[in-house]
Amino acid sequence: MRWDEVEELVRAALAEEVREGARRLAGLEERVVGELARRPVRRSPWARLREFFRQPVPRWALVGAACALLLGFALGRLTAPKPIPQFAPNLFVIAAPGARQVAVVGDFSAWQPIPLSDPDRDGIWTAVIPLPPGRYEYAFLVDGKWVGQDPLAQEYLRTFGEYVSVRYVGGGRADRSS
Amino acid sequence: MPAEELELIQRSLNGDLEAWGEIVARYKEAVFAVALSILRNRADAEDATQDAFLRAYENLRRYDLSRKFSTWLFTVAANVAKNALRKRRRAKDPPVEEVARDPAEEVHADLRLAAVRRAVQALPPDYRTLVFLYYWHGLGVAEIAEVLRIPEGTVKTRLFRARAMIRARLVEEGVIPDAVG
Amino acid sequence: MRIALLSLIALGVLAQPVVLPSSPCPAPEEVLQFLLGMDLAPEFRAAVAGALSAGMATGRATPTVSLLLLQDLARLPREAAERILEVIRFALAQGFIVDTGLVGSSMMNEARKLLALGRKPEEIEAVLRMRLAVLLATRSVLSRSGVVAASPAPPDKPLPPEERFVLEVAWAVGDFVLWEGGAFADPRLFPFVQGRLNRLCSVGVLSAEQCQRSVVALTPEMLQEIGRLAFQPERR
Repeated sequence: MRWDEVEELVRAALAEEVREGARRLAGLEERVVGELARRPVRRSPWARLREFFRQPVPRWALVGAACALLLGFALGRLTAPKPIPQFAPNLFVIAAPGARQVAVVGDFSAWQPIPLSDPDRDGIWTAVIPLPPGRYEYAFLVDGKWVGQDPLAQEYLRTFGEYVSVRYVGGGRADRSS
Repeated sequence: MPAEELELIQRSLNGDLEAWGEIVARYKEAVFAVALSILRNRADAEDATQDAFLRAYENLRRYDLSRKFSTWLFTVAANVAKNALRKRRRAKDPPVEEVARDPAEEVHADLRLAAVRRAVQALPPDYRTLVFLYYWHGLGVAEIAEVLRIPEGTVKTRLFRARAMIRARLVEEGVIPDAVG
Repeated sequence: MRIALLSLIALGVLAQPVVLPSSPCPAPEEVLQFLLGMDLAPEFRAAVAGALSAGMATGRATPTVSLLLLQDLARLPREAAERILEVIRFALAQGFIVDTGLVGSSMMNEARKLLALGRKPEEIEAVLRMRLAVLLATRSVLSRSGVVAASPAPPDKPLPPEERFVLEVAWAVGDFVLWEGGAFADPRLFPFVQGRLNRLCSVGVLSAEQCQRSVVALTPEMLQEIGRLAFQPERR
């Protein structure tokens, strides 16, 4: 038996399993609709939030602002610069054969594009970015298109339907990507 | 997205429960298949299917209309089913694992098909879900990655391993010879 | 002598393997200078300048990200820019961290991310308002529970380390509800936030003391209360 025949059997076996189980689903539409109809009407969190924030917030007066400005500068002069934290090299890599421009954007660049390079033109674009310890959200831009899923990421978030990768750097943990 | 489906979703967003009922009718089997692949128990999968549609309706405003609706719905279903699985594990109440079918009935059935069912049943949960999404739902690698929230590379690796496990099991049962083309 | 010193500093900077930030870090004065040139209502501009300068001086904002965001906002219609800036100004006035610079996520970086994603100004404003609501709720619940001080430090006073803890808890709760599609009553909220905080502990973003004391003190009930306050304000 060839593998494609096995695959056909897999399809048939799954279909059989679902078909047998799906007999229980008769009338599910009515049950779902009935349950929803019984529930109290809920406004979306956005609607609730918008309403909440329609309340005005107090604004600083000009004089207060000027005082804070002066105080801010005074404090700024008193504050000694923080020591530069240790930076660890982080490899950002993405396979994008045929791409003309590849960049990475993230918290570490305030979401400004940092170009990746592919000197040997094998379609593997890389950049080594030294980063201090911390949590970083980032994504790649391949010819301007957002590519948010980096296989080397430790977490993913979805923002307005687009993926964003997350990487934690530092703390003695071996960075998988470096 | 077909215009008709878009209209159903927009009507649902406006609170038209009848339109949502139509969505349930269209997708209940597919959502059930997602839940069944994760929970391996028909009764639990049925409950999870109902919960998934309730939850999807409640969160419909979060659905981005530019995306494929089924992918989003399967993601919701997978989350609901995984949550149910965690609860079940916490309750230490192991589900009755479904066997392919009654052995007496199996005698008359296609033995090869029964063996394949057992091979898929025996897959680890993550692999089994992936096999369902690939072979039953007909999703591509990218869509599966989105539904299961795992990288595409992981989908490819798991799919490769799932095939190898099914093949090994079938070889073990003597259904197929040691090497298949 | 001064020239020699400056040359040495320049050499030191050039010799660093650090590629970030790619452009030199602006001075706070430069940020305020840019703000003064923006088309905003004069009174509002002064209020933002006050809040921002105190924020930059005390570590609640950084000149690098602030300047980039102001440059973005200058390209938006005045009303849209003002509405976004008002959320940030209000957060600063409450003493919250709005910008953790080029490490970690916070309001200003989130706004930059959403702009990079091509989102509309009103969407960015709505997200920032939701973030602010979670920050307010987080501080309220954590202070009532004794996890952080009962009254926060004024915005023009040095930043207490616990503000970073407040920010990270609020950010994790916000991420769960905003981007993970979870409800605040979802039991997965607690493991999600705990997981995030533990990872932040492992990379040293949160101090050892915060990890041993504050992270451990968090309970699922506290997080649900934060969610309830932030997302169901009518029940306050």
